[in-house]
Amino acid sequence: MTAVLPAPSPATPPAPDATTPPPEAPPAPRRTRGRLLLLGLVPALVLACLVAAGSGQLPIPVAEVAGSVLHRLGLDLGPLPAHPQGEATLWQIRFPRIVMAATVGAALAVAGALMQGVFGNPLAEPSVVGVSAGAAVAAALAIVLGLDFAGVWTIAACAFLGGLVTTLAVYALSRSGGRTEVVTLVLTGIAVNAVAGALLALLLFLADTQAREQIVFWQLGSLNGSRWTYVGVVVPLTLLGAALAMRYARPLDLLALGERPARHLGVDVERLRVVLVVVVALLTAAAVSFCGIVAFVGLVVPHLVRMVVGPSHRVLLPASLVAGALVLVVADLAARTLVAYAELPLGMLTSLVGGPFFFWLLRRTRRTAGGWA
Amino acid sequence: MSARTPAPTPAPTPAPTPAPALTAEGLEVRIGGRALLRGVDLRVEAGEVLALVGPNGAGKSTLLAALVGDLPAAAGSVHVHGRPVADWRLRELARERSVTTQEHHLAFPFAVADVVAMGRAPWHGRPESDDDETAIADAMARTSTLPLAAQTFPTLSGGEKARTAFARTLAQRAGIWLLDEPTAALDLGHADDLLADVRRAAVGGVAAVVVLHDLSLAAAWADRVVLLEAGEVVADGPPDAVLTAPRLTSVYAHPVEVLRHPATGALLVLPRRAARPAAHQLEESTP
Repeated sequence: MTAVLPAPSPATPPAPDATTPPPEAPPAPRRTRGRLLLLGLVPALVLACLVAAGSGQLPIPVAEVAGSVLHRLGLDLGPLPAHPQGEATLWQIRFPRIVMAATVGAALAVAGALMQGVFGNPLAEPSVVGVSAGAAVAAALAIVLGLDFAGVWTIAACAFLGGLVTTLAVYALSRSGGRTEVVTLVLTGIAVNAVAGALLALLLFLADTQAREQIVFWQLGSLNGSRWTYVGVVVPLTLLGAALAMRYARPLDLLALGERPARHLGVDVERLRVVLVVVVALLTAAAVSFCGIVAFVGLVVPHLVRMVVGPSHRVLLPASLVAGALVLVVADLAARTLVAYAELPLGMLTSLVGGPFFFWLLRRTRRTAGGWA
Repeated sequence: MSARTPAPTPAPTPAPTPAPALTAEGLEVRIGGRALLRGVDLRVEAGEVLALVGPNGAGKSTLLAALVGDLPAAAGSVHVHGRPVADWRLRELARERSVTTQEHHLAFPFAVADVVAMGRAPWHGRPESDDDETAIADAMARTSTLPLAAQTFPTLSGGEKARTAFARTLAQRAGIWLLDEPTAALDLGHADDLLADVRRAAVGGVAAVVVLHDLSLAAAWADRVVLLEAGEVVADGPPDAVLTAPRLTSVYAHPVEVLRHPATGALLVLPRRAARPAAHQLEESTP
């Protein structure tokens, strides 16, 4: 590797140059890789959406899917679905589900990246530390009690509150001396998940048959039954959360130095923490309210992105957003097409892949840290 | 520079004296009822390098943390440019003052150039951020961390981490530097280079407080030495006035001798050791 920053030559003072690149340039290779990754991920996501929309019991060629979208956008391009049910299948069943998958994936990946930044720990993730479970308990409570104080937003609001309370609890319980140790975090997660699991079981026990079915479906995590009205709740929450997250990308980088050094560089650490904990709860609620617990996306995606583009949150957050969307669109496609005439639970599928990944990450973290300090 | 010879008695023009860069008055810090610092008075002016020395547990790092504002004062006050440290907005303060802590921990594998660039954060969104590139490149060149630019921080050796942390301080371009044992992990060459940089910055108007263990280093590079013992300042003054053999022997509870370098006259502080018997003497002495 060669040095990427220009060494100032002692003979000539650094002349103000009109063509100076924007300030604070991180090492060029990683920055370029960040751009390349986004350039690759966005078309991949579009393609995955088109393929996913065309797949299912009623296959529709990708060209017809694209044509249908373009016609809706007012562009007379491409063929329309040939099958009489094609248009309805796409717009009433598949598109809301795909948009939901992409949004939930984006929300989970950004929530994971944020949580890792706030805790300064690559193993922090909403489902691992029990925030998803906490949000699910509150949402299940809303179903069992038949709460309906905010219409279609009721469950999301409850999930948000549950997620917020759980995140704050985990944060308070797993921190000592300004740091979160891996062991404490994971053990706290086990405890929180156990309590949340018990509460969910209790709610299952108390619930009537219909509510019981709804809760079980959540524990498994599924995008089946996504509707535009739900999408209308989840998309704004996710956009809000992601926008807030991006605003704090820079101070999050500084937080990696530790609390004290971040404060010495002008970061109001306490305020940053509180704001980001709320954002994590918001994003987790967005993901959990209608789709249940889809685990490990927030762990795997930011980690893989970090391996490619480095840990700078200004690149990590947007790249995780797109990558998370892509991962969940593909995972949901797999969930509903792997077995003919049956649908695998999405949460099961992500855990099947994410669990071993978590295991590997745990081993690796232990090795690099030289044991559980 | 004018060629005019100065008057025999240079009358110092009484300029309106600006507030000292950093002051502490009657500073007391307690943790769990125990006083770690008692009645510490300290005054650091721009252009001055002050070394904080003292035995283990004397309160050097505690004093530094209290000066930074990380530890609350049970009594007394800390002022930065005449303003109580708690009254500063954090971003503003970060533009005036940089802090290098002893521990160099990083939660994620940032590249060295990224870590140094973090020193520029307080200037973000201000006209000074136009200098970011030069400040970073200059800081890295001076700490010889340029060859490490693309390496990730966790892969560095202890000394490389310390130099990267110092580069971050340099890049911050603040007027007050607080450095907690910046030379602890450095070999003697790099330690000298670092303190020479601090010295050079002081000539340029920086006020620096450096916690040091090596008393010869303190004598060589500091304008003033503050000697702490059990949370109290026992001596404050120029190195040759503070670092005397009887005082150090008493404070460190260990025999210490202070010598002058035969050629340069520099102060050398050494623990007094009995001459080590040579191997053949050991053999001869055994019957």
